[in-house]
Amino acid sequence: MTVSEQDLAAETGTPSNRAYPNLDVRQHTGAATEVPSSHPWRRLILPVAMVAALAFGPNLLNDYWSFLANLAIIYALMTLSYDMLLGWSGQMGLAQAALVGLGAYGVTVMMNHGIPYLLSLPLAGILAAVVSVIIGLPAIRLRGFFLAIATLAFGLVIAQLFSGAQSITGGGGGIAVGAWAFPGYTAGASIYWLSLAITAAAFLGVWRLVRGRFGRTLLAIKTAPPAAEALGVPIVRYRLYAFALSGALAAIAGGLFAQLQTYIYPQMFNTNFLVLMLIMLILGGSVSMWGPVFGSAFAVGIVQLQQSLGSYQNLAYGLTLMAAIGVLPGGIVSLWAMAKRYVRRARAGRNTVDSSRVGDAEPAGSL
Amino acid sequence: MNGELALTLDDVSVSFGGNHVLDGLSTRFEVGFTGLMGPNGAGKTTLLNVICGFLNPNSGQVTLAGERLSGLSTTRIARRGVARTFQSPRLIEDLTVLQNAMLGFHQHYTAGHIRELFGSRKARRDEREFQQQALHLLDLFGLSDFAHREAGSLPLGSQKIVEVVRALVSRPRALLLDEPAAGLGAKDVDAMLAGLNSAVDVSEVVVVIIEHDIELVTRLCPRASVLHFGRMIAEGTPASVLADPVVRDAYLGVEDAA
Repeated sequence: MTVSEQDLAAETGTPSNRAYPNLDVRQHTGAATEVPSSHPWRRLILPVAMVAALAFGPNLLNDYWSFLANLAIIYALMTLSYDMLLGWSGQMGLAQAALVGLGAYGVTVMMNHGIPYLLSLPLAGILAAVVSVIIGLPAIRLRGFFLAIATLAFGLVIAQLFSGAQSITGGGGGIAVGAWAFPGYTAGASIYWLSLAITAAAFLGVWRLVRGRFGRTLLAIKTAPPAAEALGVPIVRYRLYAFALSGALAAIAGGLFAQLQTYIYPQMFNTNFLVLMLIMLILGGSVSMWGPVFGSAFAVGIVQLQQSLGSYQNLAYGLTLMAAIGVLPGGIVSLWAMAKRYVRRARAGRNTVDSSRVGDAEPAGSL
Repeated sequence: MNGELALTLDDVSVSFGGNHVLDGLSTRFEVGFTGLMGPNGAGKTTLLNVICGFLNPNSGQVTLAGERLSGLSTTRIARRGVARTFQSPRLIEDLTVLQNAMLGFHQHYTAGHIRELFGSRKARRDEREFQQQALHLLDLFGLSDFAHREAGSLPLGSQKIVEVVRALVSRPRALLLDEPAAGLGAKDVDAMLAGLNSAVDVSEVVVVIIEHDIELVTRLCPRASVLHFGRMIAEGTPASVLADPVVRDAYLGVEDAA
């Protein structure tokens, strides 16, 4: 059989199984043909309930708490975007804050040039996807620390542009963001609902991708690149996919962030902001869908709880983080796994049946 | 068409510094199982690395069914139908056994990721079909009970079998197995052999197995080749190869090549 035949077969969806006649046995009654999580939509019950509850935020909360909830929602989207890059694809990109800034500035500048806000958001996303791929190009050759430095440099250049391109960005002093609202609603409620809708859609989309082939492939490239290559995975292309997707989501989050803040300036997107994003990701737990949710909620919440500490606030913040990361190196999401393990061990102890070693594997990709 | 399916190496040389790991090696692997033997450091794994494109030979070329492989990237070589396993299994520990196996289908998906995102019928059909095929293969290797376990939770022997399944899932024309049975218990070896025998059509696939266990090679492979200091010193049936005095010298470690 020639390659072209095989390629053709692959393209037309009729995999040539001549060499593997056994694979054609479709009706097969092995022990484990039933997939345990055959109802993946069941996993959506809790998230949907949460989004529904959050949707009442502007009605039930005062402006201040509504703002905080909105901030946490946008942070969750940012953290999700970072998880795509750092967690799922395992690439140490450090330009993420700049990409959020690119979205924020992109949306603001576009609005100043008469482009409607709702159109400027996807445009900023596309722009940032392209920029992010350019930032990611060093990833063709560089890994780990070296990639981190290369992307950090890109990020600094972009941050310089925010203050340097004074005529369109307002320079170091910042720029006011054109107000936007759904007709008949307040600006605060409008941006809240828009943030919630976009973030929920982004989580749903990313979930659909990572629980299937896309996520499998990214994890393979992350943990066993030679094996992935040897299976025919174009690993550079996938690494850049991750940069593109991550950049687009970061910029859209930035566009929402700008509208929420109503005024943006270059210092907002400096390395402190990058560190905050890293903290939210690591604290929540990477390579997970709940991690960014918990991480962002925790980050917003802890700052509020410590407001009363005045000048000791930063110290308390740092100590809290050290404690949290020390106790939970896998992030807040690892609490769930720990609890399950504890329950299982307690049960195993009672029944004196040791099924702990091999039997404890939860179907992976369980998010 | 089958007659021409063979993996050929033509005057392949690889050297690291002054160390000639493969030294003008020429050989031809026919369809069916071939045991590749040789003492440690003979260049067996290097040979596999050259075939799958991890290493570029300093000279010579590799062809599969007349198509040149050497010079192509590993990804492209894989897409020409070459699959391999590793001495120590490289599974994605956090994924299930089934998900690991399904990685092998990568080049056969017909629906892109956009379709996957929106759950198009084509994407769902791909996923369903490949899932069934992977499960079936796992069953042939006696692993269907483990399909939904995390790969990292399996004992090493089972992990090695999963890696063989993952390679088979990609429907290779040439399958390279690097010591698939090393470290396996007798039961696992039996499962591996049973799986290979039932999953591979020996008239359609070239299978090269690096293996030290002579008994296993004899059980599985009609042919064996012995590599020593980067050269094939013997090729033939396992029995004839083992009877060869040159092979005996090589294995008994006569220090003749300084």
